[in-house]
Amino acid sequence: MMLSLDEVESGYGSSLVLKGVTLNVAAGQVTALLGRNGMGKSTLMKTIMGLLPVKRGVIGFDGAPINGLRPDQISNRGIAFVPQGREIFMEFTVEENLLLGTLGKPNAGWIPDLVFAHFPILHERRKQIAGTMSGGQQQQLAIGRALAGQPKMLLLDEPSEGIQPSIVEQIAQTLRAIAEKEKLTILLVEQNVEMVLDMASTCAFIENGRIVATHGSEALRADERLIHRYLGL
Amino acid sequence: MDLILTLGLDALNFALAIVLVAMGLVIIFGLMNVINMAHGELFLLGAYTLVVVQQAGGGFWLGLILAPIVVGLVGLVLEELIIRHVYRRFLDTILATWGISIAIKQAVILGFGPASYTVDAPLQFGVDFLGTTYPAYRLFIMGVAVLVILLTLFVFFRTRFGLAARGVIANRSMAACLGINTRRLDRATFAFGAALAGLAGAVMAPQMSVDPQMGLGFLIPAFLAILTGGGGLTGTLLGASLVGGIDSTFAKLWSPVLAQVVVFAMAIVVIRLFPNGLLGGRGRR
Amino acid sequence: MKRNALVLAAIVWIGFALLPLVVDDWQLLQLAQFMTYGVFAMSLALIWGQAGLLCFGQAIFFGGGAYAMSLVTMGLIPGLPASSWLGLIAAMVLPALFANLLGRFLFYGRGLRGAHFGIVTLAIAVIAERLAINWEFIGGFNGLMGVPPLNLGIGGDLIDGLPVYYAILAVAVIVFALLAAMLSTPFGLALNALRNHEDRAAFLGYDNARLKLAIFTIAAAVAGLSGALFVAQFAFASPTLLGFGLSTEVLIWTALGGKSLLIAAFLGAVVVRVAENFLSEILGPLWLLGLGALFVLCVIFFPRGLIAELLLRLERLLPGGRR
Repeated sequence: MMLSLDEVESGYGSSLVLKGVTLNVAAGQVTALLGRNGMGKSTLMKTIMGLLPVKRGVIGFDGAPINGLRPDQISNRGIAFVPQGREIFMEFTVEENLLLGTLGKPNAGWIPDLVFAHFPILHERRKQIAGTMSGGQQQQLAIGRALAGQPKMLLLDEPSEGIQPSIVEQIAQTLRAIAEKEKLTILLVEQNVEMVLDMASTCAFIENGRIVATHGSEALRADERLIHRYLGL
Repeated sequence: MDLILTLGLDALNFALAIVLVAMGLVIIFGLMNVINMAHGELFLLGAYTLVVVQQAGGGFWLGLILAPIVVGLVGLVLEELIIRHVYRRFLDTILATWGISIAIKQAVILGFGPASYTVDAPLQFGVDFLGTTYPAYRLFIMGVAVLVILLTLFVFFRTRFGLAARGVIANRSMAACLGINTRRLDRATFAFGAALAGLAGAVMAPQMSVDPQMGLGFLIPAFLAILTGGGGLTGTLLGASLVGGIDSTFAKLWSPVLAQVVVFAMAIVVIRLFPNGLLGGRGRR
Repeated sequence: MKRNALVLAAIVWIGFALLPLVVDDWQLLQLAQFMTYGVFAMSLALIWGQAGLLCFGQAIFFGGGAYAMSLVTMGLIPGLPASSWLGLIAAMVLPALFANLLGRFLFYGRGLRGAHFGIVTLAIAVIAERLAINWEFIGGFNGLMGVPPLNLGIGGDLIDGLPVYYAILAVAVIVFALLAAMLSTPFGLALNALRNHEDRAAFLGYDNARLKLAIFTIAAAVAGLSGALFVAQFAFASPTLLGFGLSTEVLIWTALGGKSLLIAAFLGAVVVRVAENFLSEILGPLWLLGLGALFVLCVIFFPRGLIAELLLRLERLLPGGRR
């Protein structure tokens, strides 16, 4: 297992959002996390990144526990985060955004070739101010910035949000290619069921702060009622 | 004509001196959201470092080099012992740094007494400048200020440290998620800001009487410059020019006290009309 | 105000009322002076603790009150009879007017929050002191000497320890009671909302700027009153009463005592001054160094204030206290 959560509890202030999440993410695979709004998907991502404190339980990554570490330490262990809303640095150039992704890493100050190989547009526009790009391009930048640190694992939170469908398709393809070529482990939170079934090999469903079921994508594709049951579509 | 030229040089001199003091404040505030009320006392420590070095037989130039180093180290210790405990409690950072300023001032009184010292300045000659003679040391101060501005620009826009710092200013938690050690950056920034204050203190020391109260006198114009300008580097330059210009002009033509009142009234009116400073949010880069 | 808090406050005031049984006349005079500082500290606690406005120049109002009182009671204002009552009124009205005018610049227009306010008030304190030094009408650097003692029309001039002590204590109790009553009205509740969530308070329909202006004005009047009482005892108004140094001290007293409880702020001032009496002779300049360090520690570890912590703990021990 690349990432494993064991009975993890976490939340904001004194209120618990995650009430004992147990989840395993296999190395080199795309695992999707599905659930309705407010079930704790983003909270889970932030907890893994160390942005929210783990109140109970253990998070293990690549053979060592990471709970209690600071976000920068977790990032430098090899987990890259593409947050909801992208959070790129709007007033910085594309190149500066990508460089920021490298600063804590062994390749500090040097953007690895794979970033531009997968997202040629970022090379084309490297001197452009990031805030002036379209939503889809900004999303590519956010993913590229995550890749710039040469991570072992990628956390993607709603990468299709606010992006037009044709671009979503393109981003999904690129992500799939990256996962295969770079042997990246990906944990994906996504509302877009098409995209999820397209990319993920395993889907975990979260409800009220707990993982309630895990299925292979094959099974989900074969029986659509499963998805409807958990997502209430 | 002579009067106008001298006045202009005086104003520029004061404005640049304010920038020199304000720079460290702005950097610390921008990055850490800490208003460092002890900045004036760090300035003070810079001046006293020079005093000590000269008393020990070292020259002015040695003192000038040692002052930012010593005060930078003091900043490092203060950050570790005190400041880091009150991050994210905004008003408490003001209070804590203010308490530090009281303690430092008292420690200086304890060590050096309340009386004032004078510092021997180099460059004691006049320079002919467009028909008037202007003290060389004042030109030197202006040169140092310009150098500090350029150095800061270079550090922030041309180095990895600067990129990381700007990233943290723009979005602290995202910068941390990208692997930037914000803790170390905070410490380095506070030390850097303190070192700038120390440098400013040493540079300004020959121009004023070095006594335990000297920090406050410079802190207030610096604060007012930041408030009117709206912070950031450009905002500070603008605010410092306004404050320095008005203060020098009124001080020369009427009296220093009146000049302070006018500067203050100007600042209040600007704050009322432009609550985010003259440059609004745009100065914050 | 909660019942137990009231009971505690009553105990404190009764304690002060009984003090003349155990201390001598000279000490009473000293304590009376410290109690005027206590009233001063309450004025700061009012805006800082109740409205979240951190004022670094509260002494401008204290000093303003002191000068107003001096000028009136010394008969230096043409057309005004030299009267303690008139002096006290002037000492409250003038600082209140100044605060109100200043507040109109600071609070209206989109928010001037914590830091700005602190810096602006700090600047005013420094400038006010320099202005006073340079203004001959109010005595310049030397200040005004020979300010007459309080004369409220009963008992003649208040000079001896006992009458002065009780007069000041009475004022302190009245100020405390009025402020405490004010804070339990809807106005006080609105202030509370303002302190905790400025944005939410605005959303709920409170006019934040007006609230701040009102409390700032009231606090200035209280500070002015304390300054007037001080100068009537001290007989000497000097520029230092306006300035940065005293503003610093009152902030320390209030922080150490407790900014969110008026009674704790009052006690903070009295206790620190009593301690200073004993310790500053022994410690010399070390005293202020230690006080500064204590202040920093208190900010970090006991942001509610040392005396307030103690009082809140006592409060819970009283019958019916929440645990």
